[in-house]
Amino acid sequence: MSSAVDELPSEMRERYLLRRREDLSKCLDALGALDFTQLSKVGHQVRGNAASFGFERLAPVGEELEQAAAVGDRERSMFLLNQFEAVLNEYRPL
Amino acid sequence: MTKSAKARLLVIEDDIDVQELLAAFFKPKGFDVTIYDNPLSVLNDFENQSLSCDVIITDLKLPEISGIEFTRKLKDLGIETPIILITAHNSAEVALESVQAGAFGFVLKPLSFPQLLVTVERALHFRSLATENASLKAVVQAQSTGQIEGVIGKSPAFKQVLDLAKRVAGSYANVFISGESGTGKEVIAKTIHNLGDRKEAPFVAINCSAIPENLLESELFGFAKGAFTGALDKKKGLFEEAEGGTLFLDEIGDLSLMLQAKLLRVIQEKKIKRIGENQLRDINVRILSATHKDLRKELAEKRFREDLFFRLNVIAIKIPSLRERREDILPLAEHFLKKFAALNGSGTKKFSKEAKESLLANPWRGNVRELENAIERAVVLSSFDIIGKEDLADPEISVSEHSTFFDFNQLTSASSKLPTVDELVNLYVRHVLQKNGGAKEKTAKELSIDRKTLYRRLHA
Repeated sequence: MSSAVDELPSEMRERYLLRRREDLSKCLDALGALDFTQLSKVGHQVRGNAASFGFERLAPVGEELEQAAAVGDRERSMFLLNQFEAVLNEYRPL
Repeated sequence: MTKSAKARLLVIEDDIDVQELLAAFFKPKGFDVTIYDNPLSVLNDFENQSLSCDVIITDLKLPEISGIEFTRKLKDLGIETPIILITAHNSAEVALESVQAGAFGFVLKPLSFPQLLVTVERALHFRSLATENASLKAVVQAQSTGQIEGVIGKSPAFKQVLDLAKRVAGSYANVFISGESGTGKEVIAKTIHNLGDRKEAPFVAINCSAIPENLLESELFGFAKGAFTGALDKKKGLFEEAEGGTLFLDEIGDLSLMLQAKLLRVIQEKKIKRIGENQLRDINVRILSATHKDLRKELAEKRFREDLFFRLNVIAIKIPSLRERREDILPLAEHFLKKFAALNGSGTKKFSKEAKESLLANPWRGNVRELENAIERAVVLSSFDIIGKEDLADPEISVSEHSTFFDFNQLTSASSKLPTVDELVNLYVRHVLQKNGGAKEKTAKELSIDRKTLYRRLHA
């Protein structure tokens, strides 16, 4: 896995993080409107694709976000979005 | 798929990051990668014959329908391309359901690329084995059933012909076969030969209309050394070549009166004399003959000898046109599809519903030969697994409707644009095809070009 990640062009990984920041912003808006569909979609995708880009720590946050969205847990979702942002900052601070 | 051709990978994934990831991984490894984000568009494009690939990688969770449902629907269309499902759901139920739906493999996310690559390579190997297997199966089936090329048909009209052919096969009586061009007169002649006692001996066929009269005589009877200018050595004629077997004289209605007289003598005496020789040689040959002409009319107009006609016409078999046995069109079309797909190594192909309707609606004036040519063209030109109605359209049918005569003075006149060499070659190919009555294999052979080049020139 790591060798495949090493072969990835760095701009692809950069682009990945940039898109997750956009996702984070959309998810915060969606949570304000109590729309959990967007959160579930983002959580599911991140759970499946983060490790493939070498961002292993983001994947479990995505998985939990998908679960919280599935049951419409607003508080848990908010907590996880904050965690999502924290992990993004660890990888690439703004 | 040949080793030199790029393997075509189709990715169905709505996650743009995974799309880019898969493309970035597989493209440098020599794969041709096509990406879709919606499985319904893929199904639609497969149905419209605008899509073809060697392996499909699809996400399980997709918009509109799931990857498993997509797999089922694709199989329902008769598309056998191997499908690899990728998913973040690590559950035995999902894996089982995928396999039951017909998926080739199942890879978990986060994607392990070495594992995915091995699965894709195995899928490609599986596909090439499946293609090879289908080709061999078709060959073995044809051999084991003793099936003779083109002898396919369950219509009452054709069954009657086959029944008669079987009954006459065991006798030595001369058989006269009539029917429109392309109905398969030679096929029936060969069937009679193969079903009879003479099947181990040669079956020799000659088209009497395709050879000039003086040449036809030497072809049939042979010649002695020095019999005429150019006869540098003695040569056996076709009667001798067919010794113990069958000689099929096609288009006998075009035989000159002089040769008719000679043929009559051979039939009566069962002896031949090579040109330039006095020695009579015994022959033991069964004669089957055929024509698309109305021989009764030829008799009435004194262009065909009555005594010869009655000698040849001991048993008459009339082959119905394809229009008179429409229920045989689809079985014949399926047979030719299998045959040409195997010959071209293009894997399993199927007809779309519209293509089948179009096949049934066509008048097939050129009969089975025209149908066979149409299917061959469709197989060669279509890069998709489903043959559509448009693949069966015949652009060169106009060849017989328009003259291909061209005058170089007119072509090079100041007022007209000069044709390129390429355009002239295309015109020439059409001209030769027209001369050969639309027989493509013969045309390609005469022009020393392969069938693909022939089709390219005709479609240019």
